[in-house]
Amino acid sequence: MAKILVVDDDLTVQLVLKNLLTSQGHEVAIAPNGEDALLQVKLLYPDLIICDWIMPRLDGLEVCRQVKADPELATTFIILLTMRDQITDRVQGLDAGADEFISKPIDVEELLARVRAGLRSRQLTQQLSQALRQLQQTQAQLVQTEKMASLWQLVAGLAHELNNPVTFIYSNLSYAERYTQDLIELLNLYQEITPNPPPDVIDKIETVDLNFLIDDLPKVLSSMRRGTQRIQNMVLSLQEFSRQNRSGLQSVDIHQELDNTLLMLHYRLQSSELNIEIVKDYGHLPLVECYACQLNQVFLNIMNNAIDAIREEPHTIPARIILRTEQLENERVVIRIANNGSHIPSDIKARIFDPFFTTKPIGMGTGLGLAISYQIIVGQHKGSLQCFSEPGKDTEFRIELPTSIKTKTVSN
Amino acid sequence: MSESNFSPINSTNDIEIDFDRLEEVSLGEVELKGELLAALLEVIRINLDAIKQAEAVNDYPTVAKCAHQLKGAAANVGVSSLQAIATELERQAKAEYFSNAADLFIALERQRLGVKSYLSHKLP
Repeated sequence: MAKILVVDDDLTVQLVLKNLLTSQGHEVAIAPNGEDALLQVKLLYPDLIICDWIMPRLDGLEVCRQVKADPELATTFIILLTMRDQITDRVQGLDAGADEFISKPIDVEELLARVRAGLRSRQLTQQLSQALRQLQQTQAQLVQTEKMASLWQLVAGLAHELNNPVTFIYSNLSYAERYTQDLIELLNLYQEITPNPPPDVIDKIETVDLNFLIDDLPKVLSSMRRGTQRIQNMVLSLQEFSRQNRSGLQSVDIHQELDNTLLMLHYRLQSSELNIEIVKDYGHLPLVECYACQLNQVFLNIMNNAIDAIREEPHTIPARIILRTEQLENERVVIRIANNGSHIPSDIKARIFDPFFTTKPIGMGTGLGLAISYQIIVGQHKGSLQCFSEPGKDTEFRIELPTSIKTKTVSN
Repeated sequence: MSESNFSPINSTNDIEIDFDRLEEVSLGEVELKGELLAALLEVIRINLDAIKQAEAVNDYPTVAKCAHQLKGAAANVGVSSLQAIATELERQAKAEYFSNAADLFIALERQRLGVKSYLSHKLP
């Protein structure tokens, strides 16, 4: 039923408690002293400890203190055994972390009742801390969703506002080019019928360097066109990326989304000191039903981390991010994002999907990116997100998605 | 200091057992009763040796500690006669004056024999 650790140096007490508690269906371990108790506690993770107060060297109070100080053990219920004729200060015991007291010689019925009460309390404490963990997770997710939502709103608004002026610059450029051409032709005609212009016109032709002007003006306009085109593309991809108007489920070309993400990260990928090579190994993918905006966020988080990992190993040449996609059987696709930057140590790897866990300097990372990514892939899309990292090999994040979420839910 | 009415001069190996207590802690099982009394014998043996050595060099704290353990074990199992002797020994050790240590040792030894014979005759 429950795991109970009995700590007492008296053989007869050990025997009585072991038989008594075993007869109630509990699993009982015995420690003859405080030192042994602390060792066993860390191996067994008992639900309840019954511990003698007075013991040589490491006494019951110290056992209480050390157990309660360990976050993984703190919910263990501790009953201290006291001698009826010995004046022990229960306040001291409570302060050390004891939950309950029983005096010796032990009254069997009382002990069993206190053990039952202790186990009830322990169960409630555990439920409470479980609920707290869940709450923290939900909160982290809410905060992040809210933050990203307002960020996307800003991006979408900005893209919309930029779109209008850029469009009218762009569309007027064609007229400007045509009018310029017309004016140059007109000027040529005048020059033909006026081979000897008056001196003030000759002066002006020389000061403006007419030949250069005629030659350069179309080039100026065409470079304006190229710049405007770039702004337009950027606006378009910002809109694509945030796509407020398509927040629901839709069928999406994964390759398009990956390329959009790369475009977003263009400035980081091309930064002078890194110069990261992007290798695309795209397979044939069907359209995938997903929440595109959320999925983009996952790609962005993983690629940003990849760039950070490469930054940590600046001597790897060439620095490389590899994107691989592949269609699997049973209507699933896999997207693998690998980088040859620093690897993730296994103790850190175990926690990378935990909310608020970060290895970045204070203020740099929220510790939410991968937690949210995990939630998006596993929670929302019924897929899987795994991380593979070993020294000397590429670190790879593997995203597996069903091509259709709805059929998946139905089959469940 | 409280005066004890305990008299160690008792030439028999008689022991007094609180049978209700022994029944309670052994969950009514004969086998467990035997195990408990055997464990008690072991506790007596260990502590009696330690007490004798400590008393020879007037190491009062050790005598008090061992007598205390003896008292606890006796109370736990319900051997009230042993509990009374151990209580008296602990009292004298804490007062740092042994008025009749030799008598008490003999009494403890008799208790040990008494428990042993009870174990072999009544709980074979």
